[in-house]
Amino acid sequence: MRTDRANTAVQSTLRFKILSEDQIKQIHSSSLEVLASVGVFIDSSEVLEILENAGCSVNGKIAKFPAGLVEWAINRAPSRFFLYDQKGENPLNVGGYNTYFGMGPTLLYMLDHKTGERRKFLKKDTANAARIADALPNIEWVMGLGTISDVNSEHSEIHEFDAMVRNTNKPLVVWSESVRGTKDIIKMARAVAGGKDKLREKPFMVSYSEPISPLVQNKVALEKLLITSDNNIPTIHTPIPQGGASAPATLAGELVSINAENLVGVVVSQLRNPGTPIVIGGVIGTMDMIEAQLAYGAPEMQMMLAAYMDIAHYYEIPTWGTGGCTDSKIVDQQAAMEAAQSVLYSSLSGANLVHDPGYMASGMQGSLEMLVMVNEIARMAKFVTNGINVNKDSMAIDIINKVGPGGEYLTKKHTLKHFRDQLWEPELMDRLPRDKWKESGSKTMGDRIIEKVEHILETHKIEPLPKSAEKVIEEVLSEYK
Amino acid sequence: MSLLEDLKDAVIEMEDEKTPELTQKALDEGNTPEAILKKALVPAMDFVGDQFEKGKRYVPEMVLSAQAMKAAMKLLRPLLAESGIEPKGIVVIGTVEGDLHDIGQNLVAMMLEGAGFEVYNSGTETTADEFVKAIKEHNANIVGLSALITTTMTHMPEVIERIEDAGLRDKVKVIIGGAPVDQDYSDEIKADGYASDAGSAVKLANKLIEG
Repeated sequence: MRTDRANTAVQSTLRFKILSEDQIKQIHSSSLEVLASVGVFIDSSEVLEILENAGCSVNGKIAKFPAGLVEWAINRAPSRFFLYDQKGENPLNVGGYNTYFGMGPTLLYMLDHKTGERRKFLKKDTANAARIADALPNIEWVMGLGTISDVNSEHSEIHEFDAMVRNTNKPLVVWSESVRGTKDIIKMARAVAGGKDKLREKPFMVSYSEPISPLVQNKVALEKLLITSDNNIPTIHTPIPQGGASAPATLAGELVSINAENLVGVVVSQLRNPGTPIVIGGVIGTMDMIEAQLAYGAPEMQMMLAAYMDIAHYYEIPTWGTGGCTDSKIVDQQAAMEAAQSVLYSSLSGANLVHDPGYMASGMQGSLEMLVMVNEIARMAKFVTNGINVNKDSMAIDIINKVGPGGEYLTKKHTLKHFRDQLWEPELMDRLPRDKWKESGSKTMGDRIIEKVEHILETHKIEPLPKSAEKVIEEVLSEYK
Repeated sequence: MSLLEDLKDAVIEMEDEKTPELTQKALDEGNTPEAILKKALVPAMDFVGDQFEKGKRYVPEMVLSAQAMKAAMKLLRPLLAESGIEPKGIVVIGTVEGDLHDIGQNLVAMMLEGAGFEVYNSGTETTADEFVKAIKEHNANIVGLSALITTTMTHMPEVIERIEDAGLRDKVKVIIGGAPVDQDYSDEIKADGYASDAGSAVKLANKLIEG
């Protein structure tokens, strides 16, 4: 046997690929063909002008993109950005194969963990979700989860920011339906960061906007993209296609189509402000052909997402993944199966910002319990993707030699030294002996999750905002009365 | 008789390129438009609908059969009108102002066509005035309003108001759909009904027409 000798330690972690490099290039080339020959509906005269000046052919609202321009933009877009918490600390390295889970936006209903009933989404739900996420180490950034219904619908995005920023110090992904809202959110974010320059230097906020499949870019989404690009705010500009309805039914065809949609965001952002961080990806879904619903727990979605992550890694552009979600209406076996599968797929395929933990019922309903469950699943996935460290020390020949045949390892210092970081420790998973489990109330996973939700809500405290930030937020809120 | 059987099969088999030709042949053979409708097209769509309910056919098969029927209806509709036969109902449908999402409302439009309604699809970003104009122009008795975004669904009461202003509220039933709306919202804005999916929209339209 030959023993490798190397002067560098290469630790290739566990990951998988769905597409070969040739397949990635085929899809890339087909997307370029769609952009050049079919074109995209661009509902903004300002963006059409930018595109025309850059060499796109514009006819009415249809813009066609030369391949060279698209490839220039792909190369110009940064491979990663650093997303800080609200105090400018603990940056997430958003790029490569780093995976961070957070919530999603705009759910209309909430599964109330106290009553078990579904009801309209309220401002307190965003606040509670942010606080729960703040306490969970593997939910690493926060989004509003739902559309707040107990305020004027045109003001909900402002209240969403208010509820998030008061209940978590973690990075935020913000969503708004209007240009005014986007501007006011930036204003409040600057106050939280301690000024315009601080937010630029250490951004804690990513903006989310959304084109419409197939191949439509709506006005508000584009205008938001221009504003956030101008301000160097990292921007997710990604579609939610439904294969068989708003995208081809073939999985490769859907990838071609949504890649073209994503690349429009890359081109527009890089033309506007070369080097500004842009994020690609989406909810690469399929329509359930019996109920005509977008399927959030479908294995084909996980496969397409993983494939799209391969394409994004080839481009070296950070990604917006989807996982930790379910089509189930309650936190049951289906919810656990779908969430576990998608969290593991997202982690193995190296999706960067993975949204939708807490999503249920085909993207209609949110749940605090799901967030807590996904945190445990993500802990397992993270452990697995860390891989196995193989070196002279970790292979432990010395201790194997010392213990010898028929010995034991339990009393050895080597075990004491390593077991905590080498073995995964369950928080919610039950490993009690049966009798102990019965004595402690025969609790199900669901029971344990609800206990944890309530424990966090009762005990987890957040530092109040600095007075200066408080003042700006109050001012903005008062303009929305 | 076999020609009508062929036409019925063509609808069931989703052959929209065949149905106009078969319909023309059936007319040339001396079948009345009404007979073609009642003996071929309606039974075909009843069969397809039944298969859909039983889970033997899926959404694409349902809407492609509706397309095949629509292709035949293009020929029959003027003839039926000449002989004074009214369609079951006339529907104007559209996504409200500010909203470019139309997958759902297109699906509802196709399902309604399949169920024998005459449907005029105004598409995305339909303003209140455009709804009123289309209702007048097509003499519609149902209008369907769709929205996907919470900030655009607020245009729905505006459309209803404009229909009232035009003096058309008694003549037209207003139905609403889309992710952010529900029965409570329908009650709140005094619409005539809400449906959560395309199949339920057809049932609702049938119920409202039967009055």
